Amino acid sequence: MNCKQCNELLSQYIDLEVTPQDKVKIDQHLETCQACKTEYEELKAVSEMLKELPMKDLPEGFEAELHEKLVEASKEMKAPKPKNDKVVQLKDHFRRNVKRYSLAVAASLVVMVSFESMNFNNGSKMEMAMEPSVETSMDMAYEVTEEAPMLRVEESDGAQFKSTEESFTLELTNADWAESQDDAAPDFSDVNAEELRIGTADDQPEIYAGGFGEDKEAVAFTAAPQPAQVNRKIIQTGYLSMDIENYDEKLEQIMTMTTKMGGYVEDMSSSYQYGYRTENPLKMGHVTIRVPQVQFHGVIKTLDELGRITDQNMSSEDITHMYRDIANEVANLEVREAKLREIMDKAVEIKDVLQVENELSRVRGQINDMKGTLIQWDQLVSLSRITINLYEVESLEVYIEPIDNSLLTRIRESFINSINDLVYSLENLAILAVALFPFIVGYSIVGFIGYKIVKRIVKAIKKRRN
Amino acid sequence: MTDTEKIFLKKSQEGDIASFEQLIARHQQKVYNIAYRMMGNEEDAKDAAQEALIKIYKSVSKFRGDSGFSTWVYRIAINACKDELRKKKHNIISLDKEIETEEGSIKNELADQGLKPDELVEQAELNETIQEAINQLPEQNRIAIILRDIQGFSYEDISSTLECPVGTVKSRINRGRKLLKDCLKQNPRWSYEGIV
Repeated sequence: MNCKQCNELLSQYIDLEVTPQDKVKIDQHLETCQACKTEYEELKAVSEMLKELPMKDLPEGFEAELHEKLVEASKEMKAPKPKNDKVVQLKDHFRRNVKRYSLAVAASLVVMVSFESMNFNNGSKMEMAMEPSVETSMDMAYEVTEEAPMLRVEESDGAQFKSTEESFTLELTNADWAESQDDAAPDFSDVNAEELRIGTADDQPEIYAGGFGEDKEAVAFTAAPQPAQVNRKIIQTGYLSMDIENYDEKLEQIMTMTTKMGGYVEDMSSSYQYGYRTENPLKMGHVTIRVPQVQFHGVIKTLDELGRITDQNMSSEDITHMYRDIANEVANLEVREAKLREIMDKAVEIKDVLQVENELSRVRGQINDMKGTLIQWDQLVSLSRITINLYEVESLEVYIEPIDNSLLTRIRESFINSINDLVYSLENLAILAVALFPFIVGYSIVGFIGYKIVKRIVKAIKKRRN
Repeated sequence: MTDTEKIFLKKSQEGDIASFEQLIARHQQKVYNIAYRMMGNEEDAKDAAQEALIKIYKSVSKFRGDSGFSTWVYRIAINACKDELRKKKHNIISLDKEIETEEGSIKNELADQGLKPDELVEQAELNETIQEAINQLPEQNRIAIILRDIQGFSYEDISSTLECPVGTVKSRINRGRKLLKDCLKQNPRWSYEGIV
């Protein structure tokens, strides 16, 4: 047994899951090979440590909480299955978020009205224009909330559903949510509904908070520059394990390829698989590379040509929503910052100046934080991360054509066997010859004498007849 | 499965909550512990474990008994954890984000968990180190290691829980232990006998 075979079986050996034959072989190998012995002891130590980890008790109130959830789940299950899933989903969704929607409608009305007022009035008149608009929107919000329970009661009325849908759509359009709406329109599948819910839940109350907070004008500016991002932000990651020949050469190739494509190596480490003192030291290691997103599949293809991919995972994460949320918030804060600067210019008293300055630096800090996140995301999106685990093997061929190889071996073995048999039989023949020699000599002497005697007798008889 | 459990199972399939609670009483701590090792903290573990148990409740009527009940339970638990982990990836939590209050904003600060000369603390710290190492394993290897070393499943059990061949289980465990060892080796207190 060599080190590689032994190493592969070590974990099973620790878990007593090897065949008795293998066990004997490993025992023998471990006695002679210090490197494997160390490896064995370390792995065993790891396993022991894990086994000693204490079992966690259930947290307090776990069962009670679970019970409540079970009761809820049971109610959900017992409820009659709705006939039209899509409509019901939409309705349920609406029911859950009635408040949010009505607030959203109100907020978007504020935005619309104030935006228009901005166009027609100059700065000094703006505040006057704002006041009534807020009032109207409050009324609207109230109305919508009032209307909602009615929709709930008359479940079977198709016309009512339609109106629900209308108000739903209205809200979406108003809030510049065109993209999500596009997604949702052809098919209100579960996912889409949830996506929408998340989107609106996170976004709209924010606008609301800004709108009815201390600074009413901010919202008017904010909603206007809502970025219409059509391209999705997707973070792509890949994870590969591969067997390769010529470790150093291939690693070099991967690194060169990465730099050529405009990426960079983020992390790299190499080590010997079983120590460098073994007869044929093999290396292993991993390298994490960052490559432009468009090159992602090209890279994987190139890697495939370098060796044998044994394990391959890919995942992508869509952060469009989160990205947009933060981008919006940044826009919001920037407007606020501009406003604060305006106030700052007008401020006369030191007390006011200090207060405004305080606020300014706080807002600035928040903007910086969020922009930092956005930049980080941009990097993550533009450069995909691929982690590659590399295992050097003596020859890839052995693993590729094991059947042919064993056939050859078998042919060779049987040929050698036949030769051996032939030699063996010739030997036996020789032995037989030697063994029979005394008999042959003895019998031939006896035969010869007998022949002579018979010949003489025959001669004597012939003479007598003559 | 004992006869009592079979009765509980039958009743659970009809939707009886009390029976279901009896049925999973034996498993829920394990489910929680698997979740804890998968998620890496108690809060997420609780959510994932409850999520898993609710899923089990909802689909228990579909359980036909072609695999063992416990195997089936742990399979759902693991899948639930995977889902949660996938969801978790989205949430980025700031440890010192400013919290807005009426009087302005304050910094959210974490308590300093410095060293205390106490063996209990040391043990807890060691466990934390190990958990951190586990968190860094690739998902598949992590699952295999959790089931094998922490929960003490046999290779057969793991193979049927994960619905993959025993050979795969073997290599995942082997690989997982090696990675874990490499990770723990970076700890200065590592020696052949483990971390002392």
